[in-house]
Amino acid sequence: MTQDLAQSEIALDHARAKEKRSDRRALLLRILSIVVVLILWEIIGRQYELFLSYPLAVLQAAWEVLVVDNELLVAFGETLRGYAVGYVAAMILGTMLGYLMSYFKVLDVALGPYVNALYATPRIALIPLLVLWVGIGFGMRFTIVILSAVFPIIITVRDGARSVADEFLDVARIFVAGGWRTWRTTILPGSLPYVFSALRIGAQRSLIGIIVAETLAALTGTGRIIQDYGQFFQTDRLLVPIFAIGFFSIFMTGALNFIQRRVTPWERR
Amino acid sequence: MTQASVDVDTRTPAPAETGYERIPFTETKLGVWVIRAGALAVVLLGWELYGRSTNPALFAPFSAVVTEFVDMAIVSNVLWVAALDSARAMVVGFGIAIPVGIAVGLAIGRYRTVEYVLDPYISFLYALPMVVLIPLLIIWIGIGTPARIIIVFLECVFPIIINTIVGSKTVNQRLLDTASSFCATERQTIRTVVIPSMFPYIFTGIHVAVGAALVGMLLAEMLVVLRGLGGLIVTASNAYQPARVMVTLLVLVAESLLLVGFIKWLRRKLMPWSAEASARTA
Repeated sequence: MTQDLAQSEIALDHARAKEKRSDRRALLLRILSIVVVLILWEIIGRQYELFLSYPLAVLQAAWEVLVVDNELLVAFGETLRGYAVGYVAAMILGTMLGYLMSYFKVLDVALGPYVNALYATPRIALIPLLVLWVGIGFGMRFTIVILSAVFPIIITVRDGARSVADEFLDVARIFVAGGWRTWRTTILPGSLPYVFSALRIGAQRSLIGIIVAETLAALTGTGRIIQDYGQFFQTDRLLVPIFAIGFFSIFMTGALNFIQRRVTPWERR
Repeated sequence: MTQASVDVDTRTPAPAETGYERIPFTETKLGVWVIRAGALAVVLLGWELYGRSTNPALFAPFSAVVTEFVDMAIVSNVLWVAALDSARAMVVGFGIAIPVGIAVGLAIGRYRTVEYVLDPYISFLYALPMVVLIPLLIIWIGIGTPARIIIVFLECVFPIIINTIVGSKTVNQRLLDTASSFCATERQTIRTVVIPSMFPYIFTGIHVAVGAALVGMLLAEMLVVLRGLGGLIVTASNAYQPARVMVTLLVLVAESLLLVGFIKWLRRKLMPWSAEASARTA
């Protein structure tokens, strides 16, 4: 039942990955649009400093929190540690389970309903309970990242492994390839685009998960810093981690796109 | 490619009529149900046994969850009050996001200039986890119901926008040519050609947005107002009542599955021809 959901995630993901145009007019309009908005923001923001702040103040705040106090980098480092470890674990666990579920029907039939149900349910609802179970330290970050990323990865990889064209599998069968050989030579390369989609979706989901956990469970880290700046109405400072998180999310997608192009040179988009 | 049920495998060819190849038991209808029932039994038994052996302040066995459910849903009606409260803000935010998302997506997809001007912001906001905007939203509009509605709106509008863009860019060129040969105006073209062929994509966007709307609803309730299902989860865990938390979580699972099921049902009813539209975009 959730194949559909996974499919639509992939559709979305591809739409984003395709966003690339080297049109001169496009570049010009984009830059113009950003410049106009920045100038307007600067002018209006100075009137309503508490609500909007303004670009120069944000830059100054960025200098303060990044270089002078150094607090944002410390917080970001903390978030990143939990994120990186959890994401790698989710990546390994998710792809393995995804391939296993595509190969062993029994496993899919038995686990499928749970994976689907958990995939459709917002995992951030588990955070209060996780506070009781794993505390609010590194364990919390690790757990919430895995929970956020692993289900979309499992489902997308499973569907990807199933979507490998019959012609290729027939070739493998004709050459009497065993299970492992078929997987390595046919299913793995055939499903790589899905795997990368899965990893992109997982990267974004786990970022959401970890920030919510840090905000909700009063951990340290970026989520906490955002919360603090907000509570003290330091709008200029507040906007620094917001932009940082946004650019980090874009960076993750871009990095995965780059690796994907390297790993699957035969897929020309 | 997008077979609906798990017990069909496109990779193995259909069993031959000769009778040499028999379907293994685990792939028959009965087998599937036996496996599922077995898995369920294992899960429930493990849950119950673990729950009985561990600290009751941290984890509740299945039986305790059932009694708690009876208590919350039948004896009192806390659960339904909370669920309704949650649903109200979510439905409003979601309801606003659908037309806005479609309109913005259509404008971006149809007009290059609009696309280039808005695209940096849409891309940035789509990549941004909305939760980081919550403190800013609180500064701007406070912590009332409008904040809840806006958080839900922000969570679900971007998937709809992005899918609508994809949809409006993949309109069949022949249909567009036909429209222009019949001297259709821009409005007529949009109404008779673009929108109908975008429908499947819009539905895909709404499908993704359902999940996002639930996330937004919970975020608002857990971080901003402490009401509804999200509030119930937070207060119950703070009071070390795991059974209460688990009941609420199960209701949430059921709600998610119901909503997704409803969207899929609606899609089948409205567009029986487009069962594979989401697959084609991939």
